[in-house]
Amino acid sequence: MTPSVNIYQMTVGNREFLLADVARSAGIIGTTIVSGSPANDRLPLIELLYAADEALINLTRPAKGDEFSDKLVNQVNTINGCDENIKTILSTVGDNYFTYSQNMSKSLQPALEILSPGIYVCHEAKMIPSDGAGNFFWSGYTMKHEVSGTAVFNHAIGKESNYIPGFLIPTTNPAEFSDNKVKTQRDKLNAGKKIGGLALHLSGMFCALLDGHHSAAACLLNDTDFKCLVIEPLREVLYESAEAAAANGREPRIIALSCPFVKIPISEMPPAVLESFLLRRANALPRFYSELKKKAHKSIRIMSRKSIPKEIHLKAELLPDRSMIESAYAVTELTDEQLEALLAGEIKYDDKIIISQNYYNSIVTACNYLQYEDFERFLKFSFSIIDSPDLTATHKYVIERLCTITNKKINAYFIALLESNDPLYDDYKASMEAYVKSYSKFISDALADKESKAKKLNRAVGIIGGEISDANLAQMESFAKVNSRRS
Amino acid sequence: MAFESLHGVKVVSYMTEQTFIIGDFFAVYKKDEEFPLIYRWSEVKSVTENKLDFIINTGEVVYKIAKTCFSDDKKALAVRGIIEGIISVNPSIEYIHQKRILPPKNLYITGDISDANYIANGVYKEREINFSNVILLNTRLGSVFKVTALLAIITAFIFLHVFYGDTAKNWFYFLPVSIFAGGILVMFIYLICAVIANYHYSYLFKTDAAISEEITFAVSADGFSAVESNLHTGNEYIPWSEAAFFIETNSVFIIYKNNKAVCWLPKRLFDKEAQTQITKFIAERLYQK
Repeated sequence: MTPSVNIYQMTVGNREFLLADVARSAGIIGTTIVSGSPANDRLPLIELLYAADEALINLTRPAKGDEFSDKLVNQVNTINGCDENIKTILSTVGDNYFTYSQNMSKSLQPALEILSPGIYVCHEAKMIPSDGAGNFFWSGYTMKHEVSGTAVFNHAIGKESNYIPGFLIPTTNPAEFSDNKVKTQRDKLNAGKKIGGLALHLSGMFCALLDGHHSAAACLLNDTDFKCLVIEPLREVLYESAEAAAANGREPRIIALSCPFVKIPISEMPPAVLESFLLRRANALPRFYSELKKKAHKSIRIMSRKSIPKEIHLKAELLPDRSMIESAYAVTELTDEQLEALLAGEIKYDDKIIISQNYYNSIVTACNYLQYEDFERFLKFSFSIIDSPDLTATHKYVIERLCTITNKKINAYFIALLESNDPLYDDYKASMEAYVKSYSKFISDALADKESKAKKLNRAVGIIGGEISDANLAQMESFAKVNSRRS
Repeated sequence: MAFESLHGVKVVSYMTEQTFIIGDFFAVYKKDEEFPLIYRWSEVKSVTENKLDFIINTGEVVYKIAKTCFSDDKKALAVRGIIEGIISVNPSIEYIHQKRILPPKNLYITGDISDANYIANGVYKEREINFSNVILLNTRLGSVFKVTALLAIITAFIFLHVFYGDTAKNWFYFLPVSIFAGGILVMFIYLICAVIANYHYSYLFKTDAAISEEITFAVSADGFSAVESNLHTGNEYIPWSEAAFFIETNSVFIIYKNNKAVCWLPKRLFDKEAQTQITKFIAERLYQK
């Protein structure tokens, strides 16, 4: 059977994307549930990303979990163990689009033809090559562990907000990392060429990187945005609010089809695509279901002693983490007046809820949002919270958050607090002392090795010199994480 | 949920001028409307399948989909499979259906039965089902018939005693007449039951399109299945824990749940040795009545 791919150019709100209706495809790449059921929370729900008969990634929602529960993730096998044709198709997509500037629709066509039948939203996005916790994505999933941000829906962002699922899960073995391939990609970047990857949305804020692992490493090393063509299966539905339904005396109705990037109102769906969506079964079993089920619980074997260079890991620690991104999507704007209201212990400003009905959540989200969007305001806000004796419940979180950042102002602030001997801060004295000690060690180490560090880490001299600028704030954050891990 | 690979079905009702899509959702397009009203299955209160229609009650509206609207029986059977799969995860939906020979699909779970120990394809034969059913009637109602016969003999004896008297002299005649009367009565009741049972299953053969389809039967260590061959994927089965006991007749194995037959496995589809092995295999998992 010849696959049929109908692609529609769409704009919903300010979001431009392609809507692809894939039918009669061989279903070589896709996801399938091999154990449990989405409707039954008494059993773990095990979902696999597969390519032909190879299981690539295992996502396990624990028993008693729901759509807001994070999943356990591990790599099962590498996509390079599959048919060579699959690799070729996937790698040409990125090359055609990024390097040869072919249009998105034409570039994606061959990849869409090998996906499992379904409706897909396709767009270009800047990805974050980390696991959402400051680790380089490629080496982060060899062991099964809970990955924060993999829940289908996110409490902070909510079901209705749009966001880019920017964190990555690899589909190749970390042992396949090659310095030469990274160098080739860096050479392309240095020559002014564009490189990128191809990602398939898996769950929550995470996509599987189908192609472009070395490009991701090269972009990270060159401090360049890593862009991907992102394919998001349109599989969730959005309901009208309970209030609107109650007003009409009925159960909430489905009003839109949803994926992280966009929510498409039913009335804006091309009727033929909507019909395809309704006719298609979300959990249809793939051709190699039996084989996949048997392979589901394996873990990827790292066959090489080669490891990803330290420099890449250091750079990955610069990247924003899951909570920062989450807060950036959850909050559209935070004015100074709203921050003052939060500092006054209010959750509302101008009769509207500022962030959340929960005060603690509001403070946490505000801190993350400010850290991501405006570091100076973040520092000012954080210091004001700690200064306020009425906000003691939030002191612990804010001090812990500050302790992860190596910064001259934070160091000076902690020294002042320690010198004040205020009993209010007795519980945090040990943390602050450890911070001051490690900061002082960091400075002395940096001075001792100023020359080499300046070469190794961009703009390090500026930080050591004590001048804080917007340009080096991100770098500081990196130092902080490195420093805190060392200590 | 099982049978999730069944593709959704679109059906147009020319009587009501509505178009329905039955899949993961239940969608209704009214006449000349481009966008449908989409229901989650959890909103549906009840589904009834009778000889002629599927009746879906959402609480607000009752939708009737005549089986004649489907282009062929396979589409109607697919709708049945989808609905029963949905009901297995939405037990709040009241489901009413006619008696079946094939197990309802809401008993199935998704798993791997592709390398089942015993697998065979074939169609049910009306005679073997009916014959087995008569044997089952004997098994189930045997003691009732015996008691009825005894009561009839006693009643006839008392009747003769009251109307003809002199029992001491005539008992030699009364006794065979009473036994004969009891035997005739029980034979008559038995024949009526057998005719009703025959009619009932013959009616099922005429009305349930699934029975005339080729069926794939599978028995494995995990469970068993009997599904239309065109729906068989090797990934759906009924676990043994869903069954209570089994009865073996000359022609079929009948597996029971809650005292109702859920699966009929015709013996003739398996060779002699396999039949012996299956008997042993099932007996290890269920008790035999």
